[in-house]
Amino acid sequence: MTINNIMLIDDNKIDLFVNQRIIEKYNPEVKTRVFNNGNSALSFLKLLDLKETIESETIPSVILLDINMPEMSGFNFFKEFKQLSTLLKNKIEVYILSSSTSPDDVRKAQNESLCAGYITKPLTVDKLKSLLDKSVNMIQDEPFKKIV
Amino acid sequence: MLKETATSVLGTQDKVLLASLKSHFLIVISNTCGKLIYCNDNFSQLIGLPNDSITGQTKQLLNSVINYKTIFYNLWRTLLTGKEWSGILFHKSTNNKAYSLNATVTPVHNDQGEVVKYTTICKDISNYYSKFKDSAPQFCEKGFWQDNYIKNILYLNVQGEIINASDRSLKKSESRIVGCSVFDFVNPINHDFVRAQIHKVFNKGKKAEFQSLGLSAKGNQRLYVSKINPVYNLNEEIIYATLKTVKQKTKPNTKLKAIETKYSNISQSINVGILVVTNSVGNIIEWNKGAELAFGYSNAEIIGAPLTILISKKHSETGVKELLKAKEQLDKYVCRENIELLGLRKNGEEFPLEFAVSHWRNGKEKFYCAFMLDISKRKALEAKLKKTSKDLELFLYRSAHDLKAPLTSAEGLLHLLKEEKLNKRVSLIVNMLDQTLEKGRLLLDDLAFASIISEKRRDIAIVDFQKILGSTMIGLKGIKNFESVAFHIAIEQETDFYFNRDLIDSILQNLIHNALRFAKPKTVAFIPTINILINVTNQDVNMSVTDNGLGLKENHIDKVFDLYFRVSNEESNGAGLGLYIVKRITDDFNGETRVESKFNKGTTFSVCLPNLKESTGNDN
Repeated sequence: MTINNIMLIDDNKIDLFVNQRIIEKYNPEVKTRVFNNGNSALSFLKLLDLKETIESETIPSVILLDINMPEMSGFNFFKEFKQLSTLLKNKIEVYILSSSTSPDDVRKAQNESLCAGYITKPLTVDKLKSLLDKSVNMIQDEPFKKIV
Repeated sequence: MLKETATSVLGTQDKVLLASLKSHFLIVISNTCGKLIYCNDNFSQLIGLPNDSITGQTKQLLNSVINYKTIFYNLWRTLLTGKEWSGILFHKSTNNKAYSLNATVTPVHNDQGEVVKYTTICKDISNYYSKFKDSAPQFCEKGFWQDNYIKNILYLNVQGEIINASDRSLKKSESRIVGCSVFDFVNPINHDFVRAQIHKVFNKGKKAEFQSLGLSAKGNQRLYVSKINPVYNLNEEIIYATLKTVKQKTKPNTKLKAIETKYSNISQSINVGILVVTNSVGNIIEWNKGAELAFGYSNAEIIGAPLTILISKKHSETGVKELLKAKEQLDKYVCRENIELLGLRKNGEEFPLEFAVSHWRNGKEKFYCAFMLDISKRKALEAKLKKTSKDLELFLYRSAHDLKAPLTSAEGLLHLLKEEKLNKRVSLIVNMLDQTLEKGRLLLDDLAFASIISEKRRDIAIVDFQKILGSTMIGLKGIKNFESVAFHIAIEQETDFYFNRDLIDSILQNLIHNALRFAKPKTVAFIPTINILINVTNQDVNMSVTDNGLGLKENHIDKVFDLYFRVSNEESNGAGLGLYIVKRITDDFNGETRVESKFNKGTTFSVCLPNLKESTGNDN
């Protein structure tokens, strides 16, 4: 499984810009789709869910999700995300990408069944490598990744 | 009435007989309640009051003198069965003269057979009666007696009767003291005590004494001390006792009285403090104005009531337990901290009280004094303070947390900048900027952590030191000096240790990071070392981190735990928060931190924390 599509959800435009650029550096072939709030990201995903024939390329294989956002926080995003079809959910890995290092936030993320890992900002190429390259190799070994 | 009846029943020639009866006897008629409705002149003379002021009053004759309760009881029992009673009555007149009266009391029935009144016919036999019977009490004028009382030795028999006096004037005077009972001159409250003292003299042959208060000729209150000594005959039997009374020196007495007045006034006038005095079984016998104001009961309502009436019903079980515990400890002469409990006002309102108890003895009786303070205001302030400090902690946490977001964004941008082609000068500046940003981020992390230390108390679990230390070391891997330092780690753990894992992690991380920061560079002859010792017992854990690094100057040792303290700008890149956090944690959990250091030789930090086995999770 190769990563060719990453969805970014963050209310901070600068962070979105930085993350996009980092992903570009990591692998220029990876497509990114950015959303500045959880709701619009969710409606996009719901739309994908409705379409029977989806080109697999448009489905993101990874979502990088910020926690602290107005209207819908990262954790609330998971509540809605659960409503999507199992087929779709199985194809997507959701990672938290946050500046918070609070043990509480990490614990909350750990308790979220659909959360695949926790990355602290700022995103770097190295972090992305350890996240994506390894996730291909040892997906079964490590159900939750914490990358500081 | 009697006159009328007599006239109609008797013939005129019998009027002479009636007149002679009236002049020789005392005649009294009373109603069923004992009120006088008629008396003749002889009676009013004896009483010493005019005829019309006696009528309507309770019969003085039947108003028993304390010593003659049995007679009084016997009399009324006979009368209530409707029978006639005859016997000797004793009477003390208003001028303190004693009379013995041979009396016959007859119930008078109406047509239906109900008793409507009593007639009493008496003969004054005082003049010869006392000659036959020793126990007939004599009375003397009080003032006269008091003056002579202290000059003389009195002789007492076992009943406390005065059988002789050393001064002839006392014996001979018209109102003789001989024949009186000593109890007539003692406050009835103290009768039991004086009786016991006399008993002691006669039955055990010991000396005894008692004190009494009296008024001097000038009207000042005086304290008298009476000493009783046994007197033996040749067969070593106690035949009588001597009673010698001396006046207590006036000066200390007035002083004492002044002090007494002063303190009683003080206790009464304290409005803020609540003073309640109870006897040994916990019934209230005295309280002050403050108590009355606080609880809302009137004096009459509260005196004699149990102390528990003042304690909230909700709280009464634990409250009473606390009180009993306090009492027990007082009885053992152990000092005790103040108790806090909920008081209950008369109107049902509850309010918090702080409670201190003391006690004293007076003879055999024990008294307890509860000093209370209404702490409603303090409690409210405490709650407010708690809330405010919690809000502040939360505010600090949120601020530190939120400030981090822009910093990390800047860091991200900086990483992108580094990837661009930069000339040397710009790249130098970018690196400096990077360091600055990281420092700020670490500082905010520490701040956020320091603000939630108190919160961590809720989350107590078994601590696996091996595991925590392992992850701590991994976290420190990127730190400068880490690779060059040799670590020696020893963990001794016999039993489970309960604490908050994040806090243990933070302590270890800060101490080791600190040791790394001040490590000396590695050379051929010198290997920088850090020794980590962890020793767990049932009660506590001792963790120590020892390095052979730069060490601290003596004048810095006291300050290392202070907020934002840094030894110097060049050598350390810490924010000055690490050791402060360690100190905060140990203080919060009543632990202990120690530091020993020799300049240029090395430093040892030791932390001792309690094992929170018992209070798992429910410490709030």
